[in-house]
Amino acid sequence: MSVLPFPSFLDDIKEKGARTAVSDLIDETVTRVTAGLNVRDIRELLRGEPPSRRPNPRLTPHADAFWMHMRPSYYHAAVTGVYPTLRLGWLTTYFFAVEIITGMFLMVFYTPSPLSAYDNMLNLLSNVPFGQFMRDLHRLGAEGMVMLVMLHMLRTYITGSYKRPRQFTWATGVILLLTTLILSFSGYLLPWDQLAFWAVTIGTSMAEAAPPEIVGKNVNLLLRGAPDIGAGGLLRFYLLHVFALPLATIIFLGVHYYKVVLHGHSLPPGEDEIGTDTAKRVPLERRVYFLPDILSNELMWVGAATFILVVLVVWFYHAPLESHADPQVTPLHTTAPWYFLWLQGLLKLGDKVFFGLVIPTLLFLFLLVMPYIDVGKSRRYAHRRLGLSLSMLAVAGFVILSWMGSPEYGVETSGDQEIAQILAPMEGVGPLRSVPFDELIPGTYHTLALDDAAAAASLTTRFEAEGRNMEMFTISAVPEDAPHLLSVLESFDRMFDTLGRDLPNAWGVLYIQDWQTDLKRIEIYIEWDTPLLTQNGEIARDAQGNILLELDENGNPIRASSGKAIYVHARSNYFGGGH
Amino acid sequence: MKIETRIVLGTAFFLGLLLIVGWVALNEEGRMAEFTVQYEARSLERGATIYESNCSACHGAFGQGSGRAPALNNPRLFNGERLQEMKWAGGLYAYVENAISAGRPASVAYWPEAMPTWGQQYGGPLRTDQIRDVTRFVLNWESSALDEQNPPEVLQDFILPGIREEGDLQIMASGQPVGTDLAALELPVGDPVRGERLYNSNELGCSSCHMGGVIAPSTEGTVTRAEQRIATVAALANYTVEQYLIESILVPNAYLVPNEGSKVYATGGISIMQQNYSDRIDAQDLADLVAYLLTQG
Repeated sequence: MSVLPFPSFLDDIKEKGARTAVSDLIDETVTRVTAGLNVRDIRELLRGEPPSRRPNPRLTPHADAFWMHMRPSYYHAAVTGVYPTLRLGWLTTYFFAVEIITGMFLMVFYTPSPLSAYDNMLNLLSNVPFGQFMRDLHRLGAEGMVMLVMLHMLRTYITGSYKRPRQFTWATGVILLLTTLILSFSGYLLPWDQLAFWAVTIGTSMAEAAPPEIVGKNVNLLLRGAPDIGAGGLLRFYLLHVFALPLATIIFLGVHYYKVVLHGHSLPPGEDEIGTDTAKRVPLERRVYFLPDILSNELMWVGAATFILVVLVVWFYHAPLESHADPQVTPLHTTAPWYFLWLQGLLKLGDKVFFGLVIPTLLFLFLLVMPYIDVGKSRRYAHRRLGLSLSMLAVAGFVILSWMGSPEYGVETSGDQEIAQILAPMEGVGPLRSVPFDELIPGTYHTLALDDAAAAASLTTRFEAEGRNMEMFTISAVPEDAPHLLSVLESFDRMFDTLGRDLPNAWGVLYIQDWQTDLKRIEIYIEWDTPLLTQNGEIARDAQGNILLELDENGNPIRASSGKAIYVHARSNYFGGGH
Repeated sequence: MKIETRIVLGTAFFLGLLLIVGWVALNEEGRMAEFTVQYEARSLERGATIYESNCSACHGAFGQGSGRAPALNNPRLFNGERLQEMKWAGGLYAYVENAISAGRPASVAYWPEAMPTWGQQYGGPLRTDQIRDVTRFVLNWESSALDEQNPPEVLQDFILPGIREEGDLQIMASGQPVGTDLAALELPVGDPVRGERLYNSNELGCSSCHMGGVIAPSTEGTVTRAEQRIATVAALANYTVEQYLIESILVPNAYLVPNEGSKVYATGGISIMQQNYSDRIDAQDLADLVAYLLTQG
């Protein structure tokens, strides 16, 4: 007899024999670990057999295990297909998990300080094995999560799943949409590159616009920690990104999931009688148990989603890292992230406070209370034509506003700057830097001569007669072994037709020089006739719409010009991919 | 059967995942090395842009110098001579980075215009990474500077021509001393610019005591003070300012400036000023120095 108050393992062996005692011990341990399933139950699960014990042991873990009790123990067969949920909500949760895991890896190599953040990024990319992999996963996962949350919301609206009794579930979902957007946006600032700095400068200056002035000023001060973004702002965004927002997301995710368990997954709109909700009353023959069917299905999706993410990250997508943040240099065409482009589009419509603050706030509040306003009982598509049409209109409006937010719409910079920006953007690569280094043969290439040697010679003669600095104006034809250079020059020429509408008689030159060992200097030079300006500063036109020119005392048009120089090093390897 | 399909698919995805991650692991070293190379090349490109807008006006577009600052594609920078000359114990990268960040003081013996401090930690405009970019760009001149087949055509050295390179001061030291016979002294026409250079040079070291008036009376206001003394001190009556200055340089003990508070200019009838300038400079140097001092109000 054991000294313990209960029989020891040795007592068991004496009583049952060694073999049975060991198998019982294993069985008991497995049951405890799985919160209710023994070895036999697990074997049956894996084989896809019905449970042999009663009551169904597969339901116990949902009540007893921490990780499982927020999942329904069985689903209605009608919601287990790809339709109606498209797995979007679940996938979003999975992406959130991916963000947390990859984010923790990144945190190890990161210090939230303007003095070291950018160097941390470089270290991560150049010195940490799998550093780029983790960063790319984190960034792509974030973008994916934003997209999934939006699609999930759209799906919920379309199938009418927000209706009674799930109004509050919808409201928590709207809050989750907001936390996801801000989570993603707050991560922008952390690498401390130009994109980070200017995107967040724009974002916080919108908060600054909040009336009255004292509120906006102080909100801005709270967000940035100083009148301008610096060490204080970076630390605050870091803490928002790694602490406050994830915490809020986890809390609301808990409520959201809890409500799903409470009310059950809403059935497809055609499944129920109008006005009834039978999601919780699943007939025995239509039950699909979480263990094993749903879980194995979800594990497959984990595999599929991770596989797709990893394939994208390894071969197709790299998170951009622009140049070091510089308050002195505003990059041309700073845009919001794609999911905030609609907001940027709204801002182009007019007043900063009204379009940047009032409308988005009203929109958010409307989304929050929408299920309490739309109290129509039917979830059938046929009965919700107005609502569905309005939602499609809203989506279309969102897309149009997003397009208006892009640099293509309503840009006020001049054509020559636009062209130079396209050829060699301030951030990113652009076509000019993508020309292989060997093809950057020193010389002056003119858009009017391209690969035509005779035209090049006649241009040289003309410029010599004009008394120009001939070091730069001795025009060459593009050599045959430089097809990429030629195609860049051709697109340079074509851009005068589209972007150069305000540049009468414009032409451009690419002036390539050897500068240092392995280093070339390329100047983009653009010249045009100066248009005559009206008193409003607009370009004057005659009755036919032709641009009027500013003339000198001899009646000849005055030429205007602009130039932009870039340097290209042989090993920067823009043309070989990378980012 | 349904479960089996899912399990097979899921397992296939996980196995594929493992294969890809393994492949990434094998290539990680190479990727990191490639990133470093590319990043440094792009850093050099940015450095070239910063150099063009901030440095090329003084140091020349191709680092050849422009008359205001020395050449940077100078073989002496890359072969170690310059580091030895500056008693620099560290490497070339650190030397160049330091020179850009901290700037260089004005020095008539070297270059009369100061190089500004560029590093933010010294109050300049450029961040550490930008200093790094420019340093990379400057160091990239190494191969062309050391290429003997292709000697730089016009290079300006780190020291102004005519001071050390052509041995101005050495010639001076071996020339005829001025002597202290002030009555018979005849001086050539003085050049204030060369005088200033001498005044600030390490060889004579005048400015090391007189600059700012910390140790010896300040350079500024020399003429005014001289005029006052001639007017008030009986022993100096009939002197011209020029004569007073010449005597002060060649015979510092002839007239001792009274001590001022804690500043002791002379003890026991001996001035703290060096007594041997009459042996170390020639008539031309003296004329130049006086011409320079006469510009000091």
